[in-house]
Amino acid sequence: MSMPGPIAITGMGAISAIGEDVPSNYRSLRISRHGIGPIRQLDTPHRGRLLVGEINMSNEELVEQLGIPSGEAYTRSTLLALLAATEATIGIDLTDGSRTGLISATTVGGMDATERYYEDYLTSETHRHYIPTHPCGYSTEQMARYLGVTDFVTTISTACSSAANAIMLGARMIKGGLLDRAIVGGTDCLSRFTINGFNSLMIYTDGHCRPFDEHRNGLNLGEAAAYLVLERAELVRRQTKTPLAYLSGYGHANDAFHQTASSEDGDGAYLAMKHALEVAQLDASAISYVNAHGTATPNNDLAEGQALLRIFGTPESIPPFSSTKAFTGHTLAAAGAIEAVFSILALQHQEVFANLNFSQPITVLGIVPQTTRLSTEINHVLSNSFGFGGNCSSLLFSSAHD
Amino acid sequence: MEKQNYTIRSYCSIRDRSIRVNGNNFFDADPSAPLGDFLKSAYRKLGVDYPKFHKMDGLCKAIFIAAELITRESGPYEQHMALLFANRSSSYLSDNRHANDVFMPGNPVASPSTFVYTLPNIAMGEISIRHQLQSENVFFIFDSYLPEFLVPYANATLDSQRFERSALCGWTEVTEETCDLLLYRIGASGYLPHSIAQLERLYNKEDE
Amino acid sequence: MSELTQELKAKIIAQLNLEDLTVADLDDHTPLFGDGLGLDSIDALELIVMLDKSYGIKLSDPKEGRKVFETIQTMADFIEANRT
Repeated sequence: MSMPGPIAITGMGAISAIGEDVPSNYRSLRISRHGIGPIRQLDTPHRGRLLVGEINMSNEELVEQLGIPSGEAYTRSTLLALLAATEATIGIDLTDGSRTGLISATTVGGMDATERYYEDYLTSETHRHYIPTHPCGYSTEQMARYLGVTDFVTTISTACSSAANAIMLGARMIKGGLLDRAIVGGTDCLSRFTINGFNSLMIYTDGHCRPFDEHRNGLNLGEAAAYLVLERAELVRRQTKTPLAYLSGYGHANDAFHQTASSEDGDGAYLAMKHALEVAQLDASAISYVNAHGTATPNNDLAEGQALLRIFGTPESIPPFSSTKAFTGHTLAAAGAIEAVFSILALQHQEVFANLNFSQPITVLGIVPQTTRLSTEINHVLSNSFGFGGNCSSLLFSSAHD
Repeated sequence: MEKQNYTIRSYCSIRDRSIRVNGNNFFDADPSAPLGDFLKSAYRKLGVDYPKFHKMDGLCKAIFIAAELITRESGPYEQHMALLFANRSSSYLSDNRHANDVFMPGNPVASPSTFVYTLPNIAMGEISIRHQLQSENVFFIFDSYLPEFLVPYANATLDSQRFERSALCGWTEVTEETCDLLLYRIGASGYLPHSIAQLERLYNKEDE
Repeated sequence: MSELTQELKAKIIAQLNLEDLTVADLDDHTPLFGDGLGLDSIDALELIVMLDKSYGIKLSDPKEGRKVFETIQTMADFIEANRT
């Protein structure tokens, strides 16, 4: 049965290169302090060359902070996810009888452990307890056990739009009456598998990424985890709680152009944003801020820029927009979720966060992102996440304040 | 709320080295034939001219063939037809190849075309490109085929579409050892009910 | 020189999975990208990997690749001039 009205967001948690919880992420955004730097933790030949958004905590430190028994096998992605999900569910009683689901997104899964211990597995017993941690779904199962979620548990893996899709699925299941509450988001840590793979696509910049800049030449990878708690708005109102924000719209479409490149006109992006507006029953003019996918690759920013122009009409009509990937790096399956958190922070604090490293607009588009932090009235935020395979998703968040 | 009953318009199963459409045999290969050879031969039998097929990995090739057979049986796909896929091993075939490339001692060299396929949803991208679909798509990872989830999920997706409701749905588990694929097209005018019981029957080959 | 172009044609067919083509089908001067053979951006990246693996030439800027990979002949010329 379809429920009217938006979905309420009642909790959020995040860990990224710019902060180990939501308040510290916000502090960094506020003062435009990015977290991009040389690789320190991961052992890879690309150390010394690539700049990434690495989280400055070792796995041992994460284990300690979570209070997990040290003998158990948890991969880095899972550890990050547990931290973020724990923060998101503070003060929320998961045993209150509501049907609660966990929908987590990841592309790396347990690959970071597998690539470290694989050679060992055949010759020694020492690390074999990591073997089951390899698949993406295992991470989610561990999360479910840790948090105590049993009603519904699943994993979504659709590249860079994964977390946005997880959020969308949670919302739909609540609207469809299948769940009362959904913990949704994503996690991905850095791994050699991913770093080498992206390297073969020649998609990195050697310096700091420059979203929407004419001279942009590639992305920085990052690692992060972020989760939201979604609940039926009506339930929240009855409890006279004020949600952090509302998820009032979402859209998803396939670009149908190429496995990894976006169509020139940004068809998939355009359709996703258009659908999100339709679900929210809002006109494009109601949008106060767009948190763009903005990976700073020549292809994405051009296509996404075109899509923005198609949605809003003219360069002047595009609301303030920025890509926060120059802060955190491209965090792959966590991107949709960490950027959802940033979108909600924008609504809470009535601030647009800066699009760093920008100096010249893309000539053929003539659009200029918001390059400094801006205090302004923000009612509705669009957050874009586009993944390989033409998988384009857009989320629309609205303010909980009157 | 709309409670519509949806139907299966056409389905394709690829089990080990055998391909059937709507319960009828399309192609059989020797059970010991390598996956790549099997899929290439099936492609040739299809008689389709799509050179990009050869660049795809095993998961995408199998899905491509099944999708091609279904559209032949039931007509062109609607541009908004939703894609709802699931499997257990994700993009394991390509993941494994890529891992072998990059974890090779001495000179690890990643192949971009292999890396591109290390995501299960690329298969949906390939189908979207081939049939020009600009629809929503989702790829779930489950332990085993789960019609208990996919049926209500597909119904809800169809309910949310405005006209000519349509989805291509299925279980697409493809590894070197296993080919366990059941793809089906759902709409309003098919000949089998879109229900958990019916799908279990199709999956367990009770209709054959 | 024609030995290299023949070698290149065979390598390209194998590396890029051009199953429906034979060495005889490939002309030295057919444009590889665009209207000729219709290769795409991923193919270009694979050719860059091939240049490195088989001929020891490292191309760090994909844009440089566009000129090098115009035709089989331009590739062969570039390799002759730069191979290690």
